Amino acid sequence: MTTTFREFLREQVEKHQAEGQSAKATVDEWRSAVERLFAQLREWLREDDPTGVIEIEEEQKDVTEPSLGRYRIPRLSLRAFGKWIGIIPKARKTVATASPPQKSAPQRADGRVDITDELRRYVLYRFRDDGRDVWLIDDLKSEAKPLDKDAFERVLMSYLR
Amino acid sequence: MKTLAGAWNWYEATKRNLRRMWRLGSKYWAHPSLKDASIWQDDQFRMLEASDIVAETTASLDPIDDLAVIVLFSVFESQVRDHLALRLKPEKDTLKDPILTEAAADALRGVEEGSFYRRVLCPLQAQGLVPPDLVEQVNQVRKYRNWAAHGRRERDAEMSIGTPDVAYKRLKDFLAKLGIAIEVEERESGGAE
Repeated sequence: MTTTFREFLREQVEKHQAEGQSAKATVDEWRSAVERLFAQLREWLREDDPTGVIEIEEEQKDVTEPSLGRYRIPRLSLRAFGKWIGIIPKARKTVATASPPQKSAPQRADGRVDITDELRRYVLYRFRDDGRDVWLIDDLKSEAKPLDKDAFERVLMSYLR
Repeated sequence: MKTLAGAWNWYEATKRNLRRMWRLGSKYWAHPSLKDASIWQDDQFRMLEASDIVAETTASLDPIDDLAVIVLFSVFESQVRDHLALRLKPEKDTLKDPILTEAAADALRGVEEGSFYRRVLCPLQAQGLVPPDLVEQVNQVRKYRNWAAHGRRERDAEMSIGTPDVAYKRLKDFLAKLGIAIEVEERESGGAE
């Protein structure tokens, strides 16, 4: 009986350690994806706004997700003309679905980031394709489209006009 | 909410359901086994992430105990005032002497609108209707209610009443001493699981 219990404890420890390591790897990978996205968005902003009219602030926020627990992840705040736009990682294990490129059936994305002024919202879905990130942008009215510089500029204009 | 039992049922049901929702968000919400569930066709839920559920339920749960004390005491206070006013009014109406009528009117105003401590708790203690230690315990709940309702500033040691359970028990005991029916109100407002 004692051996069985000892065995049980050992198995539980191994299981929790494995889950913890898996969650950490997933969170680290998600954090890197968000950092790459933010670097791209900053680059687009630098090209359009070399004098820094739009003030960019990055801060770390706590997010809690099932099986991933509580983790810290960056978010961006853009401020210009008395307006605020947040670019906010919402979830790595999102419930939101979209049709990834070259696929017709919607599926759960591998991450979600929202662009919002708290009144309106655009959703960025992340899919992984051959080891690289593909981001789609959804205005929640029409089908999600690939995120590119034009799409990002249109979103910012819609908030700042 | 008109009765202490009704307020208590509200508190328990609200806290229980917030905790359930928090658990749903923190443990199950985005689980792959629910991927094809019909809930994702509902606009209320299809863009709702686990992190939002956890953040919002945490924000709701944080002040719930203080809010419960505020609500419990408000309902209790109004029950006590109503009970005493109902007892005083018929006696006041029988008085003929203007001095006594005026004094009774003042007493009634005090019970209905005056300081709950000075015009209600103290007289009840002085008349021996409620034991001094119970009056003091209820007064501690009153002080805690005031402190919580005014932004939790300048706490003093007297305000430690523990949890809303403690407040509820004290207020319930007080109502019982005044003969305010607790059993009936509990039956009428009995919350559903």
